[in-house]
Amino acid sequence: MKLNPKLTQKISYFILFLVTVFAIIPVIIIISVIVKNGLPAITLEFLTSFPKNGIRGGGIFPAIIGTFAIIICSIVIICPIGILAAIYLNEYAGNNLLTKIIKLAIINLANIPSVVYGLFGFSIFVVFLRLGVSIISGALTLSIMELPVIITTTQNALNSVPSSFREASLSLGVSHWQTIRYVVLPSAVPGILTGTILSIARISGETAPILFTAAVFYVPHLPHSIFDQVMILPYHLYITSTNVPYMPQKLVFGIALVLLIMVLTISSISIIIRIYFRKHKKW
Amino acid sequence: MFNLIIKNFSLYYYNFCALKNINLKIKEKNITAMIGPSGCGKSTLLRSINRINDTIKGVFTKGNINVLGKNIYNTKIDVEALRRNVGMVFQRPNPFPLSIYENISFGLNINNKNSINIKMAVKESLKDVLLWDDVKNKLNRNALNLTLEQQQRLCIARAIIMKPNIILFDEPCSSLDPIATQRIEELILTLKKEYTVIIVTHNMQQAARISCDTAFMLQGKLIEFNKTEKIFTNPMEKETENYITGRFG
Ligand SMILES: Nc1ncnc2c1ncn2[C@@H]1O[C@H](COP(=O)(O)OP(=O)(O)OP(=O)(O)O)[C@@H](O)[C@H]1O
Ligand SMILES: [Mg+2]
Repeated sequence: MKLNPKLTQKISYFILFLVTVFAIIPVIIIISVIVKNGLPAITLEFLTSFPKNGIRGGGIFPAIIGTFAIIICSIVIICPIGILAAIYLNEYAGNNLLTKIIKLAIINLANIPSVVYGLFGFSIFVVFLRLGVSIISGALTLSIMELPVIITTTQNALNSVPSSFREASLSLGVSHWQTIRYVVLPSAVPGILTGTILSIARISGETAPILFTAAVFYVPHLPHSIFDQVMILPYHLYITSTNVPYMPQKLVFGIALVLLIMVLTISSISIIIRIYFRKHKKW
Repeated sequence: MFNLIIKNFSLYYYNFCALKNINLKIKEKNITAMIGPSGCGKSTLLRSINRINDTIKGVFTKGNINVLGKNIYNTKIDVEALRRNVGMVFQRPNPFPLSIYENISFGLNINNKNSINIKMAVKESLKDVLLWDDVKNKLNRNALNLTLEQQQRLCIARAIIMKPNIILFDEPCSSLDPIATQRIEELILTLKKEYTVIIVTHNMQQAARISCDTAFMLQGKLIEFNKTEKIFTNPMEKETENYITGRFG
Protein backbone atom coordinates (compact mmCIF):
# COMPACT_ATOMS: atom_id res chain seq x y z
CA MET A 1 0.00 0.00 0.00
CA LYS A 2 1.30 3.39 -0.87
CA LEU A 3 0.44 6.33 1.36
CA ASN A 4 -0.34 9.69 -0.08
CA PRO A 5 2.97 11.63 0.22
CA LYS A 6 1.15 14.80 1.27
CA LEU A 7 -0.52 12.91 4.07
CA THR A 8 2.67 11.23 5.30
CA GLN A 9 4.32 14.60 5.26
CA LYS A 10 1.57 16.05 7.44
CA ILE A 11 1.71 13.12 9.82
CA SER A 12 5.47 13.31 10.24
CA TYR A 13 5.32 17.05 10.81
CA PHE A 14 2.70 16.48 13.45
CA ILE A 15 4.76 13.80 15.21
CA LEU A 16 7.87 15.97 15.20
CA PHE A 17 5.85 18.87 16.54
CA LEU A 18 4.43 16.70 19.32
CA VAL A 19 7.83 15.42 20.35
CA THR A 20 9.15 18.97 20.50
CA VAL A 21 6.26 20.03 22.67
CA PHE A 22 6.94 17.15 25.04
CA ALA A 23 10.54 18.18 25.25
CA ILE A 24 9.79 21.75 26.26
CA ILE A 25 6.80 21.13 28.52
CA PRO A 26 8.94 20.23 31.58
CA VAL A 27 11.02 23.35 31.11
CA ILE A 28 7.91 25.50 30.96
CA ILE A 29 6.45 23.82 34.04
CA ILE A 30 9.65 24.24 36.05
CA ILE A 31 10.00 27.87 35.13
CA SER A 32 6.37 28.69 35.83
CA VAL A 33 6.36 26.92 39.20
CA ILE A 34 9.49 28.76 40.26
CA VAL A 35 8.23 32.09 39.02
CA LYS A 36 4.79 31.65 40.55
CA ASN A 37 6.09 30.64 43.98
CA GLY A 38 9.22 32.74 44.01
CA LEU A 39 8.00 36.04 42.67
CA PRO A 40 6.21 37.09 45.90
CA ALA A 41 9.51 36.74 47.78
CA ILE A 42 11.44 39.06 45.50
CA THR A 43 11.64 42.46 47.12
CA LEU A 44 14.37 45.01 47.29
CA GLU A 45 14.97 43.96 50.86
CA PHE A 46 15.28 40.31 49.88
CA LEU A 47 17.96 41.19 47.36
CA THR A 48 19.92 43.66 49.46
CA SER A 49 19.87 42.50 53.06
CA PHE A 50 21.46 39.79 55.17
CA PRO A 51 19.57 36.71 56.32
CA LYS A 52 17.70 36.93 59.64
CA ASN A 53 16.24 34.47 62.15
CA GLY A 54 18.77 31.74 61.45
CA ILE A 55 18.36 32.39 57.70
CA ARG A 56 14.62 31.75 57.85
CA GLY A 57 14.02 35.37 56.94
CA GLY A 58 15.71 38.46 55.67
CA GLY A 59 17.55 38.54 52.37
CA ILE A 60 20.19 36.82 50.33
CA PHE A 61 22.53 39.70 49.63
CA PRO A 62 25.74 37.96 50.79
CA ALA A 63 24.93 34.89 48.69
CA ILE A 64 24.48 37.05 45.59
CA ILE A 65 27.75 38.86 46.24
CA GLY A 66 29.50 35.55 46.98
CA THR A 67 28.28 34.05 43.73
CA PHE A 68 29.53 37.03 41.75
CA ALA A 69 32.86 36.93 43.57
CA ILE A 70 33.36 33.28 42.67
CA ILE A 71 32.28 33.84 39.07
CA ILE A 72 34.59 36.81 38.56
CA CYS A 73 37.48 35.01 40.19
CA SER A 74 36.88 31.98 37.96
CA ILE A 75 36.78 34.15 34.83
CA VAL A 76 40.10 35.71 35.74
CA ILE A 77 41.67 32.28 36.13
CA ILE A 78 39.98 30.45 33.31
CA CYS A 79 39.99 32.88 30.38
CA PRO A 80 43.72 33.43 29.95
CA ILE A 81 44.63 29.81 30.62
CA GLY A 82 41.86 28.33 28.50
CA ILE A 83 42.38 30.65 25.55
CA LEU A 84 46.17 30.39 25.55
CA ALA A 85 46.00 26.61 25.84
CA ALA A 86 43.58 26.47 22.93
CA ILE A 87 45.85 28.67 20.83
CA TYR A 88 48.80 26.47 21.61
CA LEU A 89 46.97 23.24 20.83
CA ASN A 90 45.42 24.58 17.68
CA GLU A 91 48.21 26.62 16.18
CA TYR A 92 51.49 25.35 17.50
CA ALA A 93 51.29 21.84 18.89
CA GLY A 94 52.41 19.22 16.44
CA ASN A 95 50.48 16.04 16.05
CA ASN A 96 52.65 13.93 18.34
CA LEU A 97 51.80 11.49 21.08
CA LEU A 98 51.90 14.15 23.79
CA THR A 99 49.34 16.40 22.12
CA LYS A 100 47.15 13.39 21.37
CA ILE A 101 47.20 12.50 25.06
CA ILE A 102 46.41 16.09 26.00
CA LYS A 103 43.50 16.19 23.59
CA LEU A 104 42.18 12.87 24.87
CA ALA A 105 42.49 14.09 28.45
CA ILE A 106 40.57 17.25 27.60
CA ILE A 107 37.71 15.28 26.11
CA ASN A 108 37.57 12.91 29.08
CA LEU A 109 37.90 15.61 31.71
CA ALA A 110 34.70 17.11 30.39
CA ASN A 111 32.81 13.93 31.30
CA ILE A 112 33.84 13.70 34.95
CA PRO A 113 30.93 14.29 37.34
CA SER A 114 31.19 17.64 39.04
CA VAL A 115 31.15 16.20 42.54
CA VAL A 116 34.45 14.51 41.76
CA TYR A 117 35.89 17.92 40.96
CA GLY A 118 34.53 19.08 44.30
CA LEU A 119 36.39 16.37 46.19
CA PHE A 120 39.50 16.93 44.13
CA GLY A 121 39.39 20.67 44.82
CA PHE A 122 38.89 20.00 48.50
CA SER A 123 41.89 17.73 48.81
CA ILE A 124 44.20 19.80 46.60
CA PHE A 125 43.31 23.44 47.20
CA VAL A 126 41.64 23.41 50.58
CA VAL A 127 43.78 20.83 52.35
CA PHE A 128 47.03 20.34 50.50
CA LEU A 129 47.68 23.92 49.38
CA ARG A 130 46.09 25.19 52.61
CA LEU A 131 43.93 27.73 50.84
CA GLY A 132 41.11 26.72 53.15
CA VAL A 133 37.45 26.88 52.30
CA SER A 134 37.60 30.09 50.32
CA ILE A 135 36.61 31.95 47.19
CA ILE A 136 39.93 31.11 45.60
CA SER A 137 39.62 27.38 46.30
CA GLY A 138 36.13 27.36 44.86
CA ALA A 139 37.12 29.38 41.82
CA LEU A 140 40.12 27.14 41.13
CA THR A 141 37.93 24.06 41.38
CA LEU A 142 35.32 25.50 39.03
CA SER A 143 38.07 26.60 36.65
CA ILE A 144 39.58 23.15 36.47
CA MET A 145 36.16 21.73 35.81
CA GLU A 146 35.33 24.20 33.07
CA LEU A 147 38.75 24.45 31.45
CA PRO A 148 38.22 21.55 29.01
CA VAL A 149 34.99 23.14 27.82
CA ILE A 150 36.60 26.56 27.30
CA ILE A 151 39.53 25.01 25.48
CA THR A 152 37.24 23.07 23.18
CA THR A 153 34.95 25.98 22.36
CA THR A 154 37.95 28.25 21.78
CA GLN A 155 39.50 25.70 19.46
CA ASN A 156 36.27 25.51 17.51
CA ALA A 157 36.19 29.28 17.25
CA LEU A 158 39.80 29.36 16.01
CA ASN A 159 39.10 26.63 13.49
CA SER A 160 36.11 28.46 12.09
CA VAL A 161 38.28 31.39 10.96
CA PRO A 162 38.63 30.94 7.18
CA SER A 163 42.09 29.74 6.23
CA SER A 164 42.10 32.32 3.44
CA PHE A 165 42.57 35.00 6.12
CA ARG A 166 45.61 33.26 7.51
CA GLU A 167 47.08 32.76 4.06
CA ALA A 168 46.49 36.38 3.12
CA SER A 169 48.29 37.50 6.24
CA LEU A 170 51.19 35.06 5.95
CA SER A 171 51.66 35.93 2.29
CA LEU A 172 52.33 39.54 3.32
CA GLY A 173 55.32 38.44 5.36
CA VAL A 174 53.44 38.65 8.62
CA SER A 175 54.70 36.09 11.12
CA HIS A 176 52.69 33.18 12.42
CA TRP A 177 52.22 34.76 15.84
CA GLN A 178 51.29 38.15 14.39
CA THR A 179 48.81 36.40 12.14
CA ILE A 180 47.21 34.75 15.15
CA ARG A 181 47.25 38.00 17.07
CA TYR A 182 45.94 40.35 14.38
CA VAL A 183 43.89 38.11 12.10
CA VAL A 184 42.81 34.86 13.72
CA LEU A 185 41.99 36.04 17.23
CA PRO A 186 39.94 39.10 16.24
CA SER A 187 37.85 36.95 13.91
CA ALA A 188 37.45 34.29 16.57
CA VAL A 189 36.43 36.68 19.33
CA PRO A 190 32.66 36.24 18.92
CA GLY A 191 32.95 32.46 19.16
CA ILE A 192 35.33 32.62 22.10
CA LEU A 193 33.12 35.16 23.85
CA THR A 194 29.90 33.21 23.48
CA GLY A 195 31.57 29.97 24.54
CA THR A 196 33.08 31.61 27.58
CA ILE A 197 29.86 33.25 28.66
CA LEU A 198 27.94 29.97 28.32
CA SER A 199 30.56 28.34 30.51
CA ILE A 200 30.10 31.07 33.08
CA ALA A 201 26.36 30.48 33.04
CA ARG A 202 27.03 26.82 33.63
CA ILE A 203 29.43 27.26 36.52
CA SER A 204 27.30 29.87 38.22
CA GLY A 205 24.65 27.22 38.80
CA GLU A 206 27.02 24.48 39.94
CA THR A 207 26.79 23.32 43.54
CA ALA A 208 28.93 20.22 43.90
CA PRO A 209 32.37 21.74 43.14
CA ILE A 210 31.92 24.57 45.65
CA LEU A 211 30.19 22.47 48.26
CA PHE A 212 33.42 21.57 50.07
CA THR A 213 35.70 24.25 48.68
CA ALA A 214 34.10 27.67 49.06
CA ALA A 215 30.59 27.69 50.38
CA VAL A 216 29.44 27.97 53.95
CA PHE A 217 26.06 28.03 55.60
CA TYR A 218 26.23 31.54 56.92
CA VAL A 219 28.73 34.39 57.09
CA PRO A 220 27.70 37.52 58.95
CA HIS A 221 29.72 39.82 56.69
CA LEU A 222 30.69 40.17 53.05
CA PRO A 223 33.99 38.59 51.93
CA HIS A 224 37.03 40.78 52.54
CA SER A 225 39.41 38.93 50.24
CA ILE A 226 39.57 35.91 47.99
CA PHE A 227 40.70 33.85 50.96
CA ASP A 228 37.37 34.25 52.76
CA GLN A 229 34.59 31.73 52.80
CA VAL A 230 31.36 32.88 51.24
CA MET A 231 27.68 32.19 50.92
CA ILE A 232 26.73 31.17 47.40
CA LEU A 233 23.30 31.01 45.79
CA PRO A 234 23.19 27.39 44.61
CA TYR A 235 24.50 26.17 47.95
CA HIS A 236 22.18 28.49 49.82
CA LEU A 237 19.30 27.04 47.86
CA TYR A 238 20.42 23.51 48.65
CA ILE A 239 20.82 24.22 52.35
CA THR A 240 17.56 26.10 52.78
CA SER A 241 15.54 23.52 50.92
CA THR A 242 16.95 20.51 52.73
CA ASN A 243 18.59 21.42 56.02
CA VAL A 244 16.58 24.22 57.56
CA PRO A 245 13.43 23.17 59.40
CA TYR A 246 10.44 25.49 59.09
CA MET A 247 12.06 27.37 56.21
CA PRO A 248 9.35 29.48 54.50
CA GLN A 249 8.87 27.93 51.04
CA LYS A 250 8.33 31.33 49.55
CA LEU A 251 11.94 32.25 50.32
CA VAL A 252 13.30 29.00 48.91
CA PHE A 253 11.54 29.62 45.64
CA GLY A 254 12.70 33.20 45.77
CA ILE A 255 16.31 32.00 45.90
CA ALA A 256 15.65 29.58 43.05
CA LEU A 257 14.14 32.37 40.99
CA VAL A 258 17.09 34.70 41.54
CA LEU A 259 19.48 31.92 40.55
CA LEU A 260 17.41 31.10 37.50
CA ILE A 261 17.26 34.70 36.39
CA MET A 262 20.99 35.05 36.85
CA VAL A 263 21.84 31.99 34.76
CA LEU A 264 19.30 32.85 32.07
CA THR A 265 20.57 36.42 31.88
CA ILE A 266 24.13 35.28 31.38
CA SER A 267 23.07 32.78 28.70
CA SER A 268 20.99 35.34 26.88
CA ILE A 269 23.92 37.77 26.83
CA SER A 270 25.84 35.10 24.98
CA ILE A 271 22.95 34.54 22.57
CA ILE A 272 22.65 38.27 21.94
CA ILE A 273 26.35 38.53 21.22
CA ARG A 274 26.12 35.62 18.82
CA ILE A 275 23.17 37.13 16.97
CA TYR A 276 24.88 40.51 16.82
CA PHE A 277 28.07 39.11 15.33
CA ARG A 278 26.23 36.84 12.93
CA LYS A 279 24.41 39.85 11.58
CA HIS A 280 27.60 41.84 11.17
CA LYS A 281 29.79 39.04 9.94
CA LYS A 282 30.42 39.22 6.24
CA TRP A 283 32.43 36.18 5.34
CA MET B 1 67.94 38.63 -15.63
CA PHE B 2 66.43 35.50 -14.15
CA ASN B 3 65.21 36.32 -10.68
CA LEU B 4 63.54 33.01 -10.06
CA ILE B 5 65.24 29.72 -10.75
CA ILE B 6 63.62 26.43 -9.85
CA LYS B 7 66.07 23.52 -9.78
CA ASN B 8 65.20 19.82 -9.56
CA PHE B 9 62.27 20.70 -7.37
CA SER B 10 59.92 17.97 -6.15
CA LEU B 11 57.11 18.21 -3.62
CA TYR B 12 55.21 15.53 -1.75
CA TYR B 13 51.96 15.64 0.18
CA TYR B 14 52.76 12.77 2.55
CA ASN B 15 53.76 10.15 -0.01
CA PHE B 16 51.89 11.59 -2.96
CA CYS B 17 54.30 13.24 -5.35
CA ALA B 18 52.60 16.43 -6.53
CA LEU B 19 55.61 18.01 -8.29
CA LYS B 20 58.17 15.92 -10.08
CA ASN B 21 61.59 17.33 -10.59
CA ILE B 22 60.64 20.75 -11.92
CA ASN B 23 63.26 22.91 -13.62
CA LEU B 24 62.31 26.42 -14.61
CA LYS B 25 63.95 29.82 -15.01
CA ILE B 26 61.74 32.84 -14.89
CA LYS B 27 62.71 36.20 -16.34
CA GLU B 28 62.34 39.36 -14.36
CA LYS B 29 59.76 42.02 -15.27
CA ASN B 30 57.93 39.57 -17.35
CA ILE B 31 54.62 37.74 -17.20
CA THR B 32 54.86 33.98 -17.07
CA ALA B 33 51.72 31.88 -17.30
CA MET B 34 51.26 28.39 -15.93
CA ILE B 35 48.65 26.26 -17.59
CA GLY B 36 47.59 22.67 -17.34
CA PRO B 37 44.60 20.53 -16.41
CA SER B 38 43.06 20.59 -12.96
CA GLY B 39 45.18 18.85 -10.35
CA CYS B 40 48.41 18.99 -12.33
CA GLY B 41 50.18 20.94 -9.59
CA LYS B 42 50.08 24.56 -10.77
CA SER B 43 48.94 25.94 -7.46
CA THR B 44 51.33 23.70 -5.59
CA LEU B 45 54.26 25.03 -7.59
CA LEU B 46 53.13 28.62 -7.18
CA ARG B 47 52.66 28.17 -3.45
CA SER B 48 56.15 26.72 -3.19
CA ILE B 49 57.65 29.97 -4.40
CA ASN B 50 56.60 31.91 -1.30
CA ARG B 51 56.65 28.85 0.94
CA ILE B 52 53.01 29.27 1.87
CA ASN B 53 52.85 25.50 1.44
CA ASP B 54 54.77 25.29 4.69
CA THR B 55 51.48 25.74 6.51
CA ILE B 56 50.06 22.54 5.05
CA LYS B 57 50.56 19.34 6.96
CA GLY B 58 52.58 16.58 5.37
CA VAL B 59 54.40 18.72 2.81
CA PHE B 60 57.93 17.64 2.05
CA THR B 61 60.21 19.08 -0.63
CA LYS B 62 63.38 18.20 -2.51
CA GLY B 63 65.56 20.39 -4.69
CA ASN B 64 65.69 24.13 -4.50
CA ILE B 65 64.14 27.36 -5.61
CA ASN B 66 66.33 30.41 -5.96
CA VAL B 67 64.75 33.80 -5.52
CA LEU B 68 67.14 36.66 -6.29
CA GLY B 69 70.03 34.27 -5.98
CA LYS B 70 69.13 32.76 -2.63
CA ASN B 71 67.86 29.25 -2.10
CA ILE B 72 64.60 29.76 -0.26
CA TYR B 73 64.53 26.17 0.95
CA ASN B 74 67.68 26.77 2.91
CA THR B 75 66.80 26.35 6.58
CA LYS B 76 68.42 29.65 7.48
CA ILE B 77 66.25 31.73 5.19
CA ASP B 78 63.98 34.37 6.73
CA VAL B 79 60.61 33.16 5.47
CA GLU B 80 58.82 36.37 6.41
CA ALA B 81 61.32 38.44 4.44
CA LEU B 82 60.89 36.08 1.51
CA ARG B 83 57.12 36.52 1.60
CA ARG B 84 57.51 40.29 1.65
CA ASN B 85 59.57 39.88 -1.48
CA VAL B 86 57.18 37.48 -3.18
CA GLY B 87 53.59 38.70 -3.00
CA MET B 88 50.57 36.55 -3.68
CA VAL B 89 47.05 37.07 -4.95
CA PHE B 90 44.60 34.25 -4.45
CA GLN B 91 41.83 32.64 -6.43
CA ARG B 92 39.01 34.08 -4.37
CA PRO B 93 39.48 37.68 -3.30
CA ASN B 94 40.29 37.41 0.39
CA PRO B 95 40.27 40.83 2.02
CA PHE B 96 40.39 40.83 5.80
CA PRO B 97 37.10 41.76 7.48
CA LEU B 98 38.57 45.20 8.13
CA SER B 99 38.31 48.61 6.53
CA ILE B 100 39.78 49.28 3.10
CA TYR B 101 42.55 51.33 4.65
CA GLU B 102 43.38 48.72 7.27
CA ASN B 103 43.49 46.04 4.59
CA ILE B 104 45.99 47.84 2.43
CA SER B 105 48.17 49.02 5.28
CA PHE B 106 48.06 45.66 7.07
CA GLY B 107 51.46 44.35 6.03
CA LEU B 108 53.23 47.69 6.43
CA ASN B 109 51.63 48.44 9.77
CA ILE B 110 52.85 45.25 11.28
CA ASN B 111 56.35 45.38 9.86
CA ASN B 112 57.10 49.01 9.30
CA LYS B 113 60.87 48.88 9.42
CA ASN B 114 61.79 51.91 7.34
CA SER B 115 59.05 54.13 8.78
CA ILE B 116 57.46 54.63 5.40
CA ASN B 117 54.63 57.13 5.29
CA ILE B 118 51.81 54.63 5.36
CA LYS B 119 49.06 57.01 4.26
CA MET B 120 51.00 57.93 1.14
CA ALA B 121 51.84 54.32 0.43
CA VAL B 122 48.20 53.29 0.70
CA LYS B 123 47.21 56.03 -1.71
CA GLU B 124 49.94 55.07 -4.15
CA SER B 125 49.10 51.44 -4.26
CA LEU B 126 45.38 52.12 -4.57
CA LYS B 127 46.22 54.37 -7.51
CA ASP B 128 48.39 51.67 -9.03
CA VAL B 129 45.47 49.27 -9.09
CA LEU B 130 43.07 51.99 -10.30
CA LEU B 131 40.93 51.76 -7.22
CA TRP B 132 41.74 55.12 -5.66
CA ASP B 133 38.98 57.11 -7.34
CA ASP B 134 36.37 54.53 -6.36
CA VAL B 135 37.29 54.33 -2.71
CA LYS B 136 39.05 57.54 -1.74
CA ASN B 137 35.98 58.76 0.14
CA LYS B 138 35.26 55.51 1.92
CA LEU B 139 38.60 54.24 3.10
CA ASN B 140 37.06 53.44 6.47
CA ARG B 141 34.34 51.23 5.06
CA ASN B 142 34.55 47.49 5.43
CA ALA B 143 36.40 46.04 2.45
CA LEU B 144 33.92 43.19 2.20
CA ASN B 145 31.32 45.67 0.95
CA LEU B 146 33.23 46.16 -2.29
CA THR B 147 32.38 44.29 -5.47
CA LEU B 148 34.39 41.16 -6.16
CA GLU B 149 36.42 42.93 -8.80
CA GLN B 150 37.19 45.77 -6.43
CA GLN B 151 38.07 43.26 -3.73
CA GLN B 152 40.52 41.56 -6.05
CA ARG B 153 42.06 44.94 -6.92
CA LEU B 154 42.33 45.62 -3.23
CA CYS B 155 44.12 42.32 -2.72
CA ILE B 156 46.56 43.27 -5.46
CA ALA B 157 47.11 46.66 -3.84
CA ARG B 158 47.64 44.95 -0.51
CA ALA B 159 50.35 42.83 -2.11
CA ILE B 160 52.14 45.59 -4.04
CA ILE B 161 52.34 47.97 -1.10
CA MET B 162 55.01 45.62 0.25
CA LYS B 163 57.10 46.43 -2.86
CA PRO B 164 57.72 42.80 -3.72
CA ASN B 165 59.92 41.66 -6.57
CA ILE B 166 57.68 38.88 -7.70
CA ILE B 167 53.90 38.64 -7.56
CA LEU B 168 52.18 35.27 -7.78
CA PHE B 169 48.62 35.12 -9.08
CA ASP B 170 46.64 31.92 -8.57
CA GLU B 171 43.73 32.07 -11.03
CA PRO B 172 42.98 35.67 -10.01
CA CYS B 173 39.99 36.02 -12.31
CA SER B 174 38.23 32.73 -11.81
CA SER B 175 35.56 34.24 -9.58
CA LEU B 176 35.01 37.30 -11.77
CA ASP B 177 32.72 37.99 -14.71
CA PRO B 178 34.21 38.45 -18.20
CA ILE B 179 34.28 42.25 -18.07
CA ALA B 180 35.95 42.32 -14.66
CA THR B 181 38.33 39.64 -15.90
CA GLN B 182 39.37 41.81 -18.80
CA ARG B 183 39.97 44.78 -16.57
CA ILE B 184 42.04 42.77 -14.09
CA GLU B 185 44.06 41.42 -17.01
CA GLU B 186 44.77 44.97 -18.13
CA LEU B 187 45.91 45.75 -14.62
CA ILE B 188 48.21 42.74 -14.51
CA LEU B 189 49.73 43.83 -17.81
CA THR B 190 50.64 47.19 -16.32
CA LEU B 191 52.30 45.47 -13.35
CA LYS B 192 54.88 43.90 -15.63
CA LYS B 193 56.76 47.22 -15.76
CA GLU B 194 57.76 46.89 -12.14
CA TYR B 195 57.23 43.31 -11.08
CA THR B 196 57.92 39.79 -12.17
CA VAL B 197 54.50 38.26 -12.56
CA ILE B 198 53.64 34.57 -12.49
CA ILE B 199 50.04 33.71 -13.16
CA VAL B 200 48.27 30.38 -12.96
CA THR B 201 45.27 30.20 -15.18
CA HIS B 202 42.73 27.76 -16.52
CA ASN B 203 41.87 30.11 -19.25
CA MET B 204 44.14 29.60 -22.25
CA GLN B 205 43.01 32.77 -23.98
CA GLN B 206 44.04 34.61 -20.89
CA ALA B 207 47.48 33.05 -20.94
CA ALA B 208 47.79 33.88 -24.61
CA ARG B 209 46.65 37.46 -24.11
CA ILE B 210 48.84 38.54 -21.27
CA SER B 211 51.89 36.33 -20.87
CA CYS B 212 55.23 36.33 -22.62
CA ASP B 213 56.26 32.88 -21.49
CA THR B 214 54.09 29.90 -20.74
CA ALA B 215 54.74 26.74 -18.79
CA PHE B 216 52.57 23.73 -19.46
CA MET B 217 52.27 21.18 -16.67
CA LEU B 218 50.76 17.74 -16.55
CA GLN B 219 50.49 15.38 -13.59
CA GLY B 220 53.15 17.11 -11.57
CA LYS B 221 55.62 17.40 -14.43
CA LEU B 222 56.67 20.43 -16.38
CA ILE B 223 56.08 19.31 -19.94
CA GLU B 224 57.05 22.38 -21.86
CA PHE B 225 58.24 25.90 -21.17
CA ASN B 226 58.57 28.38 -23.97
CA LYS B 227 57.51 31.70 -25.45
CA THR B 228 53.74 31.91 -25.19
CA GLU B 229 53.44 32.43 -28.93
CA LYS B 230 55.40 29.28 -29.56
CA ILE B 231 53.37 27.21 -27.11
CA PHE B 232 50.11 28.25 -28.70
CA THR B 233 51.10 28.10 -32.35
CA ASN B 234 53.80 25.51 -32.59
CA PRO B 235 54.28 23.45 -29.44
CA MET B 236 57.18 21.02 -29.30
CA GLU B 237 55.46 18.34 -27.27
CA LYS B 238 52.52 16.22 -28.30
CA GLU B 239 50.89 16.57 -24.87
CA THR B 240 51.01 20.36 -25.08
CA GLU B 241 49.41 20.28 -28.45
CA ASN B 242 46.66 17.95 -27.26
CA TYR B 243 45.93 20.24 -24.34
CA ILE B 244 45.84 23.52 -26.20
CA THR B 245 43.76 22.11 -29.00
CA GLY B 246 41.31 21.03 -26.34
CA ARG B 247 41.67 17.29 -26.68
CA PHE B 248 41.72 16.92 -22.90
CA GLY B 249 41.79 19.02 -19.78
N1 LIG C 1 46.82 19.78 0.94
C1 LIG C 1 46.94 18.74 0.10
N2 LIG C 1 47.08 17.49 0.58
C2 LIG C 1 47.19 16.45 -0.27
N3 LIG C 1 47.16 16.55 -1.61
C3 LIG C 1 47.01 17.76 -2.15
C4 LIG C 1 46.88 18.93 -1.33
N4 LIG C 1 46.75 20.00 -2.14
C5 LIG C 1 46.78 19.52 -3.39
N5 LIG C 1 46.94 18.18 -3.41
C6 LIG C 1 47.06 17.34 -4.62
O1 LIG C 1 48.14 17.78 -5.37
C7 LIG C 1 47.82 17.78 -6.74
C8 LIG C 1 48.08 19.14 -7.31
O2 LIG C 1 47.16 20.06 -6.74
P1 LIG C 1 47.14 21.58 -7.16
O3 LIG C 1 46.14 22.25 -6.30
O4 LIG C 1 48.50 22.12 -7.16
O5 LIG C 1 46.60 21.50 -8.63
P2 LIG C 1 46.20 22.67 -9.62
O6 LIG C 1 46.95 22.42 -10.87
O7 LIG C 1 46.35 23.98 -9.00
O8 LIG C 1 44.68 22.35 -9.89
P3 LIG C 1 43.48 23.38 -10.12
O9 LIG C 1 43.59 23.80 -11.53
O10 LIG C 1 42.27 22.55 -9.88
O11 LIG C 1 43.63 24.50 -9.17
C9 LIG C 1 46.38 17.34 -6.86
O12 LIG C 1 46.37 15.98 -7.25
C10 LIG C 1 45.83 17.51 -5.47
O13 LIG C 1 44.90 16.49 -5.23
MG1 LIG D 1 44.98 25.54 -8.34
